[in-house]
Amino acid sequence: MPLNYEPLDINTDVTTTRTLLHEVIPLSGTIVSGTYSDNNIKNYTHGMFQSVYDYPYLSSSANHIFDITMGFTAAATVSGRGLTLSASCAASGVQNSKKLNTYTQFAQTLLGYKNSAGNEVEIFESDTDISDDTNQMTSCYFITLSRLIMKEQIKKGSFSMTIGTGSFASGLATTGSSGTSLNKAMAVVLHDVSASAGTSGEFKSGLPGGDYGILYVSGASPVTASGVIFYQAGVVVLSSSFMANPYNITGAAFTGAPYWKVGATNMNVQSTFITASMSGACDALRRRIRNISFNNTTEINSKIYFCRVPHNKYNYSANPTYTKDSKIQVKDLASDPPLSYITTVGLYNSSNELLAVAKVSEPLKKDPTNELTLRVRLDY
Amino acid sequence: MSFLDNSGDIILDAVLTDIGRKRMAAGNFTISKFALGDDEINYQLYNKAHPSGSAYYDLEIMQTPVLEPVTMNNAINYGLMDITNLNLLYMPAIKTNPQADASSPSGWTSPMGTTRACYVTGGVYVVAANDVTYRQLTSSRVNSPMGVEQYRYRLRGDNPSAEETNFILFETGIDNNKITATQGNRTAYLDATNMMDNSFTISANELFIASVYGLNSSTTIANDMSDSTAESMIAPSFGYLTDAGSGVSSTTKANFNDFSTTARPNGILGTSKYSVITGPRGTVGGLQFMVAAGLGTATGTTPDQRYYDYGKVAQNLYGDDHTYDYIDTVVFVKGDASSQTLQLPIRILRQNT
Repeated sequence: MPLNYEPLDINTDVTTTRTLLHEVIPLSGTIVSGTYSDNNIKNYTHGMFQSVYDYPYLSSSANHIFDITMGFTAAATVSGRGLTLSASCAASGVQNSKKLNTYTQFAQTLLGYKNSAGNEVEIFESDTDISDDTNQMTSCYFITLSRLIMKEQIKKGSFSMTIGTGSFASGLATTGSSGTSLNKAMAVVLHDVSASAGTSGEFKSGLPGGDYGILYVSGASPVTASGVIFYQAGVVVLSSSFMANPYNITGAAFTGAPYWKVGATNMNVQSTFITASMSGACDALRRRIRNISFNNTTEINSKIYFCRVPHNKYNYSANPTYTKDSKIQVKDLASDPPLSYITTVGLYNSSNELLAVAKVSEPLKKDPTNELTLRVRLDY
Repeated sequence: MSFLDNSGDIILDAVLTDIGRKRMAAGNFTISKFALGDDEINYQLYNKAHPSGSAYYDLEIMQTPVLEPVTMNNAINYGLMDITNLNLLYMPAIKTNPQADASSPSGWTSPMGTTRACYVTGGVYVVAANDVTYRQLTSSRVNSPMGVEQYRYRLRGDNPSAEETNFILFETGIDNNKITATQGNRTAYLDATNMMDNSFTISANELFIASVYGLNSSTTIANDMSDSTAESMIAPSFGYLTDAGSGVSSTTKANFNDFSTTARPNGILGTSKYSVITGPRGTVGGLQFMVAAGLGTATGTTPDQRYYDYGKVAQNLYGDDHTYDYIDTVVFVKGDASSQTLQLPIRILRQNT
């Protein structure tokens, strides 16, 4: 059915914008472990990672929030042993090949390859220069955040994670509570605050996995880097080394209970990487997570249409109620100004197909004394 | 589809329509123009007698809650008009002729003489889906008030241009008795204001109506003013309707097709006992419909699934020992010049048993 259309000039009536929206995403440790008695933790028969949901995962209301997995490179060493981590795992552990494969998968996806032949996988490093082979992280936990919560990317400088470094059973002391720190290893805060967007040098760009920033231990002296975070990929890589010993920012000796526990067995993190199953090792980390917080980023590309309504047009309506006995309801005399009330803007293509509709929240009065510019924004 | 929050600043809430998403997926999403609508507004709420003065005339209109946009492509059914003449006081109406059940059918003959202007009955125009249904309605004198003029109350949907069939007659013009129906006023109020609808766009649901028929180009209509006591409507070429083709997809209504038909000048001047327009008359149009394929299957066979999905099946409508299937739909008639719209309620009827 024919309508009266007003043309849009592509040069003057249409513009495009890009907007970044950020939401604060707080993930409480009680969700990750505790509240749902692990009914929100999904383990798989392949045992290579576990998924964390925000509600028991059998419920249709559950949302996937992140996965945890772990792995090591073939060159990872074990302190005090002559064997590598992999060799130790092959000899006395489980899932050695899957732990190697997992590390390699993340490394090749996020870092790429390093030698001239292009087939040797890079090693994660806790600095912004992965080519110098220093500060390598050869055994790591990987936390992969769901796109549902991270959207397009994590906002640089917004990530923080509070994690216990000691026994889950003994409880976690908070940073700064030095009075209890001797028998309760510290819960430390990892953050990337120095990697705020625009601060070049504090984050690395150009890798296959996109930008990454360094995760530092908050308040530690000397400055301690314990992992990296890939902002676009939404992957947090935690070095196992910062949990190799109970962390105590006061420097005092730890005197508490066994600080790392998998199931009923006390072991340190290296033993965990060797002997524990991947899901068991993931449990051990997960139960030490006190909270995770970051800002996600939603990138909205918008096209704005400026619908300019001239003063001398669109003052009459084809609405059936506009006339009574053929007489225009809003006029008494021919010289009275006509009126109409706009509630809807329809956007059409050249074939008169209605492509988009916009509604105003209350009627807009249109008469010959005013011109309107209705700004219709379509987000993509 | 809920109401928009109108408690604060004016906001503009926009969505893509179904076809907009389809065009975006296909990579040819290009917006080149816009139109404005006011479908929620009831202009009868404009109160020029408000005791508080002119600032309050449109108080109720401005308080009209606006519904959220929906993704269907019928967001604007009528639309605002780009008329630049600010001195219009009248706009033409489109009215059917005859308009409704005659209160005294025996005293009210068809204005078309031997030609066949269809009456509405029970609030709808009945379109028989097949010949058996059409004949049954005629022969048993069902479907017509008081059993008279029974052949005036049905349209033949299987063969719209058949010689004996009826059609829906409609007129346009200034329907106000304060404006005398003279040729001069016709020129002043319709021609000079560009409100003369010489063509119409007919929108019909493609699920039920395959094509539309309009008056052929040789049809004329006028009254003989030589004897005001013996007024007659002269239409020498009636009886022949022209197929408007298969139409094009409607841009404003999902599943609807638009058909274009031309109108004939209305030559009835002065007071008329036949015309339904009390002021200057504009044009005249006629309509008939071909029902969609499958709806007219033989009586006694299983009804088309559309009768189950969109209508009713095996209904005892007339107490004539027969049952009928039917689908109710609406056809929109829009004047291409005035943008005024007429809605025709249509019942597609099939004799079931």
